[in-house]
Amino acid sequence: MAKIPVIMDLDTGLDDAMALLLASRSDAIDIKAITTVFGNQSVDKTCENTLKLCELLGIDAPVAKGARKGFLTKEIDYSTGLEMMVHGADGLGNKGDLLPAPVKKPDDLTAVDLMAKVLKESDEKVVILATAPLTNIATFILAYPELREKVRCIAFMGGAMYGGNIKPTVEANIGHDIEAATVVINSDIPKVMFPLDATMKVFMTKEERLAMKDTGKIGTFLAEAIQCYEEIYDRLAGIPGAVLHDSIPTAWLIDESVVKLEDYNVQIELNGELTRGCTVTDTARRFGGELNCKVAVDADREKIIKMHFDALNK
Amino acid sequence: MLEKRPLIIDCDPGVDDAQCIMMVKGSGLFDIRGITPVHGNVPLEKTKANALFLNHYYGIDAPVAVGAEEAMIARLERAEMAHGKSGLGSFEYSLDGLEYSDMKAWDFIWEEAQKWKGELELLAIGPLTNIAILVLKHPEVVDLVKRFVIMGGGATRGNHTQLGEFNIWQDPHAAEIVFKAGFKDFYMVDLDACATAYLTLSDQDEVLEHAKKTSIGALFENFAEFRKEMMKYRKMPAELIKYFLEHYSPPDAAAAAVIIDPSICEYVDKYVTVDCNGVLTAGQTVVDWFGFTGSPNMHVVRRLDRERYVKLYLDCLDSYREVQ
Repeated sequence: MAKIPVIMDLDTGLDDAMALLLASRSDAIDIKAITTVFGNQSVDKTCENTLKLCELLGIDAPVAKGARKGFLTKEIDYSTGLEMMVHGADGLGNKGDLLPAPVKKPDDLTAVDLMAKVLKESDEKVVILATAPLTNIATFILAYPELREKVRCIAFMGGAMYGGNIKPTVEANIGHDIEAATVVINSDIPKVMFPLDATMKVFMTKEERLAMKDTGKIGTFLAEAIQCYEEIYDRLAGIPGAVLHDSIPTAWLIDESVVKLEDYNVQIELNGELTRGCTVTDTARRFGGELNCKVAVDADREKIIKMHFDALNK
Repeated sequence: MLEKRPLIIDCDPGVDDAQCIMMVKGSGLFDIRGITPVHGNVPLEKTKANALFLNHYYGIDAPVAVGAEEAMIARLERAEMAHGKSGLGSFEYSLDGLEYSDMKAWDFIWEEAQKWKGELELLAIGPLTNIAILVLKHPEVVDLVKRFVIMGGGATRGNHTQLGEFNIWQDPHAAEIVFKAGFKDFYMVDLDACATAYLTLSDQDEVLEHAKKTSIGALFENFAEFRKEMMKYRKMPAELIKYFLEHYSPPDAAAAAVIIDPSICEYVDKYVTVDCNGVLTAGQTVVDWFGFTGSPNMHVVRRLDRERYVKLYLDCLDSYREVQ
């Protein structure tokens, strides 16, 4: 089977690490490049974490560093706040030190220029798989409008049809750069959104997490790292396991049957006092907007968790 | 001889852009490295053609590196009423033999900024989309730009809406990105400032007389005709139209005067942000007069010395005189 060329845009990040595991072991995905952005941690850390994981997983794609902050936002202070609690002070559950410092260096190109290079050089259309704030991707869309047609789709983890995780109606990847997300949503590139409504269904239980240790070095590291993730979901949301948001679009690329997609009109609220950053989704298809986005409305937890074990056992 | 100052002009020509570029070139002070057209007064197809034409017509012949076709997020209206369908009044020209640079506006500016190691100056007189993309793609560019002058914004009023000035209103998100980017020696030549740099009826006659003796007279004669014609169709009270005819202030020309000689203006340093979302205030450049929300990020130009401005305008124009 021909592999799909993919650019991954990550803010690694614990669930990004799990997504990288899936992508690296898949027969369906050819990772052409990885670009990094602020989000779960500062871009310096997400880039370093990505480099470390590339070495752990044997990924040899170039890794580039991207945006430090959102279009209109200040740099996030990661010494306090939710991100540090969820992903640890190092972005890898405070277990990043278990991995050696990376030998691999970031690419000389910026994230945006690396994306452009990959697309220019590719004969086939390329999937952009985004599990982070959409700053790099929006900048790419603005700076290289002529390359839009080389993008097969943007599959992004972000948004919520109902609810949110950093505010009552706002999900983190969208909320960290609402203007960039708007540029992406408004673009004519095909889009597949993986909102909280679907991703929250895919959690890895403690038993499953511990079972990863039996698969070897990689499984042992990941099981250690996501322990704090499991604890925080239990404490904050009462969910019996670590939610693997970023694995969902990755799993979908490997096997479409693991999620249910529906076409909807999605728009991002830029203005509302309580709702700025909400991905407003016309779930009843009532209000006449263009069906501009495929939206994952459900995900198969059992299958997606099993995919992680299949990957670890490869 | 004094070293010429390296400069890039980001513009959406535009009748007043044409006058601005005339002055910048005519001042003889600049090494114009390039012109980077952006959508704005008229669509990019026309602004880029106008830029390419003016670049040659004025004898600049620098690279013209084309920029953004549309605003980042906002939906656009154009100003064809004020600038004519082509953007240059009703002036007609040929682009035979002229070519655009194959670089994009933002990549061109970034490359020049690096090349000049902190000496490059930037003049932006259209919507700030190109500059915003530059800043998003290369945030460190702000440390390499020596001086940055924009025509845009209104500290106390708008022109396209009550509070929205056209350039900023066209792409408020871009403007907000640029305002927050950290440019040094950043001048906002706003509507209030532009209104102080006006040409009286007799000044306008003088401009025309001077222009006729230059190689660019045909363009300026066309502008003078077009201005009278256009005013007939403006939906404004008659006394306001009369006022504008008697106080002609092509906004971008004021920005030219400021970059040519910053001492021509008075300014106050303030923190200025752009409202992106307000129902009535979208595109407003909100000047924090009392420093409630931040420390100054720019020089808000309040007025130009009109006498010096008129003299500068004519001197710049005279530089295009045909060799006697």
